[in-house]
Amino acid sequence: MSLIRRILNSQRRKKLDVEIQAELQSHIEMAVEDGVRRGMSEQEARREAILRFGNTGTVHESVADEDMFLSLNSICSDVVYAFRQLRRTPAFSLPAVLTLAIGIGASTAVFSLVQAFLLRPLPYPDASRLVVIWEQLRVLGIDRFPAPVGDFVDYKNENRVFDDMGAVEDAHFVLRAGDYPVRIFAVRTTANIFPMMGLRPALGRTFSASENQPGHENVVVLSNVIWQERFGSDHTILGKDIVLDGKNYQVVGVLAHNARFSLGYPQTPDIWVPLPLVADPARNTGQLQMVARLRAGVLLDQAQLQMDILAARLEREYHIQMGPHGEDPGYGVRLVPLHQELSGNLREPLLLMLGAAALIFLIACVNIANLMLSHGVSREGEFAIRISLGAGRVRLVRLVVTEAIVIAFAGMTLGTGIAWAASALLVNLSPYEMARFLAVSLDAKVLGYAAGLGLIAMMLFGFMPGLLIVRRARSVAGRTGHQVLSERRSRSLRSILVVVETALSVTLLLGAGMLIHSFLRLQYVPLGFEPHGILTAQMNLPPSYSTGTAQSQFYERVLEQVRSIAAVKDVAATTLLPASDRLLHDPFSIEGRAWQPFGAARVPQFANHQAVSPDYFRVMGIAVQQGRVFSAQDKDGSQPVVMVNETLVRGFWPGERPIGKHLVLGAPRPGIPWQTVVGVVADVRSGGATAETLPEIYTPMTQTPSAAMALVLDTKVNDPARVANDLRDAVRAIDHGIPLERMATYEELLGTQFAARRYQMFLLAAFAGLALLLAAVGLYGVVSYAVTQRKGEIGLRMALGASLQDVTAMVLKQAFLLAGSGLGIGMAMSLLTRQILANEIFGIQFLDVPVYLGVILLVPTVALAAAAFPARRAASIDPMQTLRME
Amino acid sequence: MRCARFMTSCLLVIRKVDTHTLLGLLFAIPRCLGVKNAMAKNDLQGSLDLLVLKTLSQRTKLHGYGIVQHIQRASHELLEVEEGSIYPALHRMEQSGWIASEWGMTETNRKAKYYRLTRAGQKQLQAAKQNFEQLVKGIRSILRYA
Repeated sequence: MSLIRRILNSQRRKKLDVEIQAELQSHIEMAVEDGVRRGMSEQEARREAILRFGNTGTVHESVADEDMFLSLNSICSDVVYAFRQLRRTPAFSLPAVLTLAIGIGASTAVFSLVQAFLLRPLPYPDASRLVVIWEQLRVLGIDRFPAPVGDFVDYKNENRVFDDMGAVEDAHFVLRAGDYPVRIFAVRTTANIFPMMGLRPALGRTFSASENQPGHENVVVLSNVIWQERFGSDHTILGKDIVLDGKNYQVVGVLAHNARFSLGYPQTPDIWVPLPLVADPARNTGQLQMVARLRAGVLLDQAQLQMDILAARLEREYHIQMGPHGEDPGYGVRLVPLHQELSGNLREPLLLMLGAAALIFLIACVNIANLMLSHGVSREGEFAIRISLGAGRVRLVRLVVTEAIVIAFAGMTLGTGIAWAASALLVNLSPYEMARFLAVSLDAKVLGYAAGLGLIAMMLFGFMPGLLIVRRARSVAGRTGHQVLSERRSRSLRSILVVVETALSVTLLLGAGMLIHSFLRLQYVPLGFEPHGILTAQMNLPPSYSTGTAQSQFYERVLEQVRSIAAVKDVAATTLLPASDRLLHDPFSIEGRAWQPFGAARVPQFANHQAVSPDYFRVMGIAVQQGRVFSAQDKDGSQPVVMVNETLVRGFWPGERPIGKHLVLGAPRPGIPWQTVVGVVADVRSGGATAETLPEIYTPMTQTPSAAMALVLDTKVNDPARVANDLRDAVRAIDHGIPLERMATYEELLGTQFAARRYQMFLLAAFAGLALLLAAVGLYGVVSYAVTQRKGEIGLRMALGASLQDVTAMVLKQAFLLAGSGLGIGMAMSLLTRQILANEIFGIQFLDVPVYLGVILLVPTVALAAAAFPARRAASIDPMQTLRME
Repeated sequence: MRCARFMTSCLLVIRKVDTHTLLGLLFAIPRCLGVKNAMAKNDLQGSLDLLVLKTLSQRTKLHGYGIVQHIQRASHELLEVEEGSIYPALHRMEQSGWIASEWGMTETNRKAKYYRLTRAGQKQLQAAKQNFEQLVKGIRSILRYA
């Protein structure tokens, strides 16, 4: 309380002065009265009273001091002084503030991402209690498997651990509205998903539970985006019908524009339709993703336990089997907190980034400590004078500390500004799906983080050098002259600091280098096909093409039509685009053999299955190793044929001739004929560069037709995208109602799978560059300072016959020595921290020789650049002038 | 020793005024470096404080001039303080909450600032008395055996 009162008092100094004046005056007047009463003349009495009172001015001042907050005035004057001092020496204060701002800005920006993605709860009601439920088949290592409708209904009705449980299933529809049809992304959902995820309608309503009963599902809720884009924000849309896949659906609601929904889908759903809950006895309809809200007070582990029991019962009851021969698939369910589900793959890269940013911050601090030391040493004279004039150690420390505070505060403010700009940029650039529905902002926690960094910085570079300076200044206070300035200790301390920051930046450089190198290698991993010059487009036939024959006929006509386009060299169709679409894991059976999970060389007995047109292998440049490719003779009704890849042969027919063998997808069933292997092709990395190659089974599209297929076009033009319009016309010529989707060059498709890695690489490389820059600035500072300090010595050497080369070499030697030590230590550190990176980096090697070599070359180059200017200055010292100075 | 004092002063500051924790921490270091001087000063101030508190405990209220007069009379003119030096002490004790002040009129109709003892001041008086007696005892025993 008294502190506050004193502070308040200092605000009204004037009033206080008047009051003190009155009190002291009344004392003197009373003394005069007493004197007069004792018989003195008034003049005499006044003289005596004043004499006895002492110096009124001094008393007044010390009374005022007692009433005011003691040090406030002098703090203010310190701050003002510090500002003036810093403004007078921009060569010191500008780099200090900028360096700190960069350090704090980078760290805070990354932290704002961590806060948004990992720390802040999701924008859903009771988000912490939401869990995603996956089925799993442990034997296969599949731990995220969608559930059939029947399982969902059983889990929902029989569990006692969830408040509520809902499910969604993704679907696609062709929407006819306006002139041309579009394929839109839809979600079939249970009615309770809307309240569970806090999705409110802007118009109308969401679904009722009765609409999840079969026969009532022809209603639809529109997303706000599609309502605006396709229906022109029509406010009278409620109750109208829209046409999806040729069927009428009645619009019952439009979601609010801020309704955000993500369960890991690549995009937000355009429309919502009810999920019909029909439990089928075979339990093979539906691919539901289940979401539930834990009952309050129920722990995740308890819920998992109960669900395990339920899952075991379901497994017994419905004979959930894997493979054709009834092996135990290791069926179970897995509860994953929603937040973890959404942010799981972000955790490690984000923490890695945070670590890298922390290194930048440390380097910045070291740099500033260094600057402060040199700055302080150059002020030793000033301090010595202040001490001889009677300034206390306390006062001097306070002076230095105040300067540190002012720098820290300026750096913090600027750094927060940088973080604000950078975090928006980082989010926009980030390929993370979560970024699209999470707001990244500088909230209290993020600002607190920045402030905390500022405080740490202040402690690191303010107090320690401050104390050091003052201690030394005290010891030299008695002496005079400039010789005391070049003290060994401060020089070696500064050298150590520079070595430390070089080492830190080398660690970062090596990490970034390895990441970049692995990224480059990843892009040159041979995928087994030639993506260059290939254009892809995808199509999905509506249910009006109801038979397989109709579907394959449509695609054959499309291929024919497209082949007639002048710029197209070759074209083929496939159900899967390798290295872009998700891998399939279909079990297959081999004639005369029992199914088992793995064949030779641990090749799993699951295949990625692809239906293709005969020209597929030629268009994609996939080499045929044995036998033949499909031909026009492999028709519906002729002998069923397949082609396989080398991995399948290696796993199941090692050393045997595969041509003529028989296999079938799934279990051998009566009425389904064995398929004959007619050819073997080279392996393709269908799951992308980092995934293991699976056995692959290709079938001709005429024998295994599919409604959804992709076209791959080998084009004659340099820019495959230029064929796009011709392609669209060709398809339209056959059926006006079929939309062409996701038209992209193959290289674009591959690019998206590297987006996350590229982002990380970009950030880490930026950090490493920043670190190197800061280290170079630090090195420059130290070398340049040393040249200034040793001016006299250098002049003397030159006067005694040292050549320009000698002097330059001397300066450069110092720089190289410092940079070299930092390089060595940094490399040792990076070997120690390699384990952290190992998870992040594809195919890390024990010693990434090119990267190490690159860094070994880079660091001395930078050191040379940093030392070049000081070295030239040293060489230009005029010996005569120096001698005269001495 | 110094370090321990620094820690305790930090703790005190934190417990007392949360909003000023930062400021307190920053200036605790210089404070604890200069703490020796303050100690010595405290002992002298302590006795002046004791005299003032004792004086006020015998009257309901008194102005600065009256306090000085009373101390001089009661100590039979042995203890003479420079009269002005009582005022910083009075104001410091007021800030500490031991005494309170108000403006009033003297018998000769002069405006003067009157001080009176507060409840905290009474406690402080007891503590100061004890301290002083300890001090006197200590000094006596040194004098006896010196």
